[in-house]
Amino acid sequence: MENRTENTGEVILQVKNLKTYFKTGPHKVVKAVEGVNFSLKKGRVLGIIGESGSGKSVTARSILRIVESPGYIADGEVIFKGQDILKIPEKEMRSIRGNEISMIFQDPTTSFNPYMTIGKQLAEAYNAHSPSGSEKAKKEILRVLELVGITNGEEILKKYPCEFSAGFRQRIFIAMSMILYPDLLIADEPTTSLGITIQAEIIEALSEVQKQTGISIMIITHDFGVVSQFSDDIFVMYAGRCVESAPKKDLLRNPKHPYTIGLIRSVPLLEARKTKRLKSIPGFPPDMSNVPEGCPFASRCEYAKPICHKEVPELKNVGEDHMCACHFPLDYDVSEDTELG
Amino acid sequence: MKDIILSCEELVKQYPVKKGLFNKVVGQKNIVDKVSFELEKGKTLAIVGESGCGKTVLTRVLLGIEDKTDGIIRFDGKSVDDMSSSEKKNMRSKIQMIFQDTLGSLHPRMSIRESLEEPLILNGVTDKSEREKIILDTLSQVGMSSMFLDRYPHQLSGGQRQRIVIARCLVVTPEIIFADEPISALDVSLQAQVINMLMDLQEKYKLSMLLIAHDLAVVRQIADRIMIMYFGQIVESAPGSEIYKNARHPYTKVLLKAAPSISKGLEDAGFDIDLKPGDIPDPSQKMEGCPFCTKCIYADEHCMKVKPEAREVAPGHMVLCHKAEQNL
Repeated sequence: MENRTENTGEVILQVKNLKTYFKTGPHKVVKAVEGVNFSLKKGRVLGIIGESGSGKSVTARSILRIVESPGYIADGEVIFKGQDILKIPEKEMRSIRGNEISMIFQDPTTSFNPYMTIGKQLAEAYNAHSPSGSEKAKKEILRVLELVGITNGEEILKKYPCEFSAGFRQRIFIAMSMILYPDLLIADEPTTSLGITIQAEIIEALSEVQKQTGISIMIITHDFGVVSQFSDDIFVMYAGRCVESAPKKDLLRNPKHPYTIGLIRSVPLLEARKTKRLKSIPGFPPDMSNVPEGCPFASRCEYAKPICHKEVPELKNVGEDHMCACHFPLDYDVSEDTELG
Repeated sequence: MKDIILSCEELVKQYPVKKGLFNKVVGQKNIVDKVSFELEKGKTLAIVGESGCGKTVLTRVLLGIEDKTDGIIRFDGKSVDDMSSSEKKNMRSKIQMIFQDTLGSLHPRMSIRESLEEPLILNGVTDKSEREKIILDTLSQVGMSSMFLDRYPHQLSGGQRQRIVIARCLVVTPEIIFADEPISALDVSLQAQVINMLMDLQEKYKLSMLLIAHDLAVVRQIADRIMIMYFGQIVESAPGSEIYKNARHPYTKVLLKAAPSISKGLEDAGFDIDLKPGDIPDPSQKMEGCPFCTKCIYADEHCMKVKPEAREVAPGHMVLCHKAEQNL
């Protein structure tokens, strides 16, 4: 448990009871994020895993206050470096975005302006927050490009985004988001549209950046493999709620929530399984405009009891730093189903 | 005696390289380059490769959507070139395809019933009540209720649509299913459902399957044989578990190392992969050596000059690498 020692570090981001709703009709509200709580410690990587529609991207966008209409933040607090950034004026928020918290998106193609050279776009990002001479900007740009493993920076500055492959563009985008050395980087599915070897290269570049700068990273993904390899803590979301959060090894070895266990049992893995068939989770994720009463996972849960269909379980401590929202947390050992140690 | 349902020998698909004002053809690029394989009846063959390696073109050629440039395709022992047009039509109803994009696979203005009925009408099932019976039967096979029949594709979720697409393949009782990344667009909790369902259906109907995937984790449970494709060629092919235990080709090893996994997370393994930072070669240029030599960390001068030949390193285990025996 060597990573426990740094676990006592200061909390850089704390999200308390965050609720983000989308008003889709006069009497229709989609509760995309319904009371999410988590915290991220300085210098650590937090992985948020969930299916599409579970509210993980909306959570990230709520932190930066870039939820688009008809979405709005209905309730909650986002405490970043001791300050609730949901309450500060928009003007102050602008100086935080990109400067102290930056974000990388899934699609490296649409993240760039196709008509501007890479050099100009990087300089624009730099000058937006700290206007200075072009010489200084260029020096900073080359330094940050080197950080993501691009050594021939001079050459690429004059080129356009279309001249690079998707993987290389994503690398440049990571450099762009790091140009002002923010304290927190939010990566929303940064590798989803990329091939498998390029994915490995990008994650490697991100972890190199993390090691060198000590930045805190929040990575959002639906890939269990990526979070298990890259993050220190894992946070599982389902239907707009947090179902389980724990340090990585705790969560992978001793998951408590039936949904987390179901995922670990069912995701395709490189490791051999002990059964020929995967143990799948029955049913489909709930329709977010009409989430049933009680625990949102109850209808798919094989252990559900009557209370699960009535009361929403609270997020409780089930171990050191291990939170789980379930009326009946389970004891499960991964080695039951897989040849994992 | 193996019962081979579909096979191809030295299959080649070239596309012309055009240049200049009048689109003059200046050369040919090989997108599928001398691919040979055999698909056994009732078994699953997986083709694994990254985007751009030619795996989708290969299936399109096999299906006859595009013409092959060279090589032989055999269905049930008979070469496709020698088939009459009615035999070809019969063959096409026996091979069905599942595409990755489920929304694009279903007509947006046709109800689910119409979508499922259409292939039956085309295949000469004229009795309406019989069609209805087949449809209801197939729907229950894929775990859907008849209440979906009058809905439209956009009213279903991705997982439900994928089941309908699979049902649409099954109504005409095919013998082979081609599945092009059938689960990569699905949510994690639904992927296992679809994999299990494909395995159940395969057992029940003795289906043969050609499965295309871009990573090795997805095919682990289901594939009897795995072929690794790189730059239009099959660089390694072996029985399923053999690939995971005794991979010989450097590219296969890279794929295995790059695939994120829970056990690597528990061991705190990094993401470093053994690849040279070079680009993949340009397919329109004539290649002299091994196509992987620009990215391979073990490549030497011999690899750059001489094209490797496929060799058998263990029973049923073929590798296309000069250094296959060295166990790098």
